[in-house]
Formats: sequence, structure tokens, C-alpha cells
Amino acid sequence: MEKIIAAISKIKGSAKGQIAIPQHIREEMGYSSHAEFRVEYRKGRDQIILTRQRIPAESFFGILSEDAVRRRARN
Amino acid sequence: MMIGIDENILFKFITGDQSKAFRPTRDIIIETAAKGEVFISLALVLEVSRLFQGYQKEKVIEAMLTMTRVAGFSVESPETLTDALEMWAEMHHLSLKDCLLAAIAGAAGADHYYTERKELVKHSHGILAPPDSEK
Repeated sequence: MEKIIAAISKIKGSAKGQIAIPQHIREEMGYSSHAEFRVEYRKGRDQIILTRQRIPAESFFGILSEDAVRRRARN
Repeated sequence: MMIGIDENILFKFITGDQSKAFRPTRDIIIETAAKGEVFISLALVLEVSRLFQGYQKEKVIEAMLTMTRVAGFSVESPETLTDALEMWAEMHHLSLKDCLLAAIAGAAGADHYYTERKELVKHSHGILAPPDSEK
């Protein structure tokens, strides 16, 4: 799902290059605080494009395998 | 095409069952997710959560949240599931079932969710209320 937000001036930027997406926009897109978005900034058009990040099913396979859990614990 | 799967299949998929017997099923799920949809109902999530007893709760929550972002996985009411998982993450003695029931009621428009489970009653999440409130 993609959503274009025109009024970027209403979105606050942070030092880490992240942006705070207003809750009503998240809700409109159907995702809560855990949702991750790819954010594109269209400079000349005063637009920000949010795209929900998706992961392929093959990457999800074994996400809770013993190896995967051990790997994540090490990191 | 959309397919449905049961809790044992989902459990094996999440835990990465490497057995020869599971390989064709794994391939069907991956292929269907690429071209169609794999339906994951809230009831299925509930059932599979029972199979994760003994697993670290945080890891299970993380996996379930990730599941809502898998391309081709059509999760029934992902917002409700996310609400329930967030609630569950904060509760120490409750099952996902308790949190899911409250989240489903909230999503359906319930203003309050009445329960005798003390931890839920104490919790400040929007719709939860003690059994004797607002009588």
C-alpha cells in the first residue's frame, strides 16, 4: 500500500533522519506503531511517499528456528 | 489463488522445519505467497500461539508482528492482532488469547471489555475495565 502525504511541513524530522508519522495517517493505512514504512521524499513536489515494508515469505520461513533465535541473541 | 493452512503447518513454517516431509508444503506456501495469498486468521494465530509454549515470549511476539508484513500473507485484521500483541507484551501472566479477545472486542467497537482477570483489569489499555465499573 502506498500513500502520498502532501503536507510534509506538518511532519517533524529528527536528527536520525527519521520522521514521525502522524497517528491518524498510520491508522488510515491500517497499521499501528509497529508498522515499518519505506519513506521517499519527493523534493520538488513537497511530497512524502510512504510504502509499507513487506518481507518475502521465504525470509519469514524459519524466523523462529533455533538457529535464527541464537543468531539474533548474539547480535 | 488463496490457501488456508492449519496451526501445525504455520508452526513448522515459522520454526523452519527442515524435514523432507515438510518441504513440499513449505514450497506451496512460498509459491502461493508470491503469486496469491496465504490466509492467516486470528483463530489460527491463537492456535499456533499455544504451540509456542516454552519459547521466549518476546521472540514469538516479534515473529507474529513480522508475519503481518509478509508479502502474500493475508492476515485477518492485522491492526487487531498488533493491538493484542502489544497488550500481551506488557502482560506477564496472560495468554495471547486473553489479549486477543480484548483487542477483538475493541476493534468491534466495544467501549469497555469486562473481565475478571486481574492483570487485564489493572491494565490501562483503552477498553479494559473492571467488572464492577460503570454499574
